Amino acid sequence: MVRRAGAADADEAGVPGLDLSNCSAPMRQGHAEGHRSPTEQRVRRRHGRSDGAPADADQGMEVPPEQQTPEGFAVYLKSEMDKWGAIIRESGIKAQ
Amino acid sequence: MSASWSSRCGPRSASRSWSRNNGGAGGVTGINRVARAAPDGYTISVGPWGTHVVNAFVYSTPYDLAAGFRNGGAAAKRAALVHRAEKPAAEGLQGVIAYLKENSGKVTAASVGAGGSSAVCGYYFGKATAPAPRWCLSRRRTGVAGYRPRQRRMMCDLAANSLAQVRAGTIKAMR
Repeated sequence: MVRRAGAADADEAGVPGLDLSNCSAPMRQGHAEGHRSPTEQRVRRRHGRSDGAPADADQGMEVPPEQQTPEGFAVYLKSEMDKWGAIIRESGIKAQ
Repeated sequence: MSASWSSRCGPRSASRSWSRNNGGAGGVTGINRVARAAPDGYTISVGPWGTHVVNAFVYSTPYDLAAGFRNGGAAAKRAALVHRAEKPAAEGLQGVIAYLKENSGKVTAASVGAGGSSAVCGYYFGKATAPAPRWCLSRRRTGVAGYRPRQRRMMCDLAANSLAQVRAGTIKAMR
C-alpha cells in the first residue's frame, strides 16, 4: 500500500499531533540493553530493500534513525507507554 | 509481519528461522512464551503497538516489556487505517474528520474485540477529531469481516488486518 499522492496528513487535515502510526521491533527476554542477537541482526538485514533503503521508505513510513538502535527504541517505547497509558486509563478500556 | 521476516531470514541463513503464530489474549500468550524462553537471543517477539504497548494497560500481563526485555531497534513502521462504510463527502482523512465533526455524538465505532488496539485507536481518533463519539464495540473476532454499512459507521484497525477488504472494495480506507 502506497500513500496516495497529495493525501493530507493529520496536520494538514486540521488535527495537529494526531499520530496513529507504530513501530515494530524484535524483542527478546533479558534485562539489560546490549548487542543484537544473531536472530535480530538477520531480521534487520532481511527487512531492507535490495537498494539498501528501508522497505517502507517510499510510503512515507520510514523508521526514524534514532529509533533504529536498541537504546533509541527503548526511549521511544517508554514515550509510547507514557502517552498511551494515560489515554487508556482515561478511556477505561479493559479486556473483557 | 514476523512470518514475512522469517521467510526472508530462513532460506538465506545457515540456521533456519520460523515463525510461530501463538495467538490468545490479544498477543499476551505469545509474548509470555518469549518471556519464559531461555535468554539466548534465539526466541524473539515481533508485534505492533497493540501487543507491545496497549496490552500493558488493558491486560494484567505476567511480564514487563519495558524492564524485562531487550529490543533490537525498530525495523518497521506501520500505519493504522480508519474505515467508514458510507461514501464520504470529501476524500481522505480530511473527509472523515469533517464528517466526525459534523456528526459529533452520532458516529458509532466498531473494534476488534472489546479491549484491543482497535478500541484504543478508535477512542483516541474520536477524541482527537470530535468531542463525543458514541461507541458500539463489536464482538470478538468480528473485525473487518463483520463490518456492515449502516450498522457500524467507522472502525480503526491496523493496515495489515484490513488490506484485503480495502482492495476488495468492501470498506473504504481513510488514511
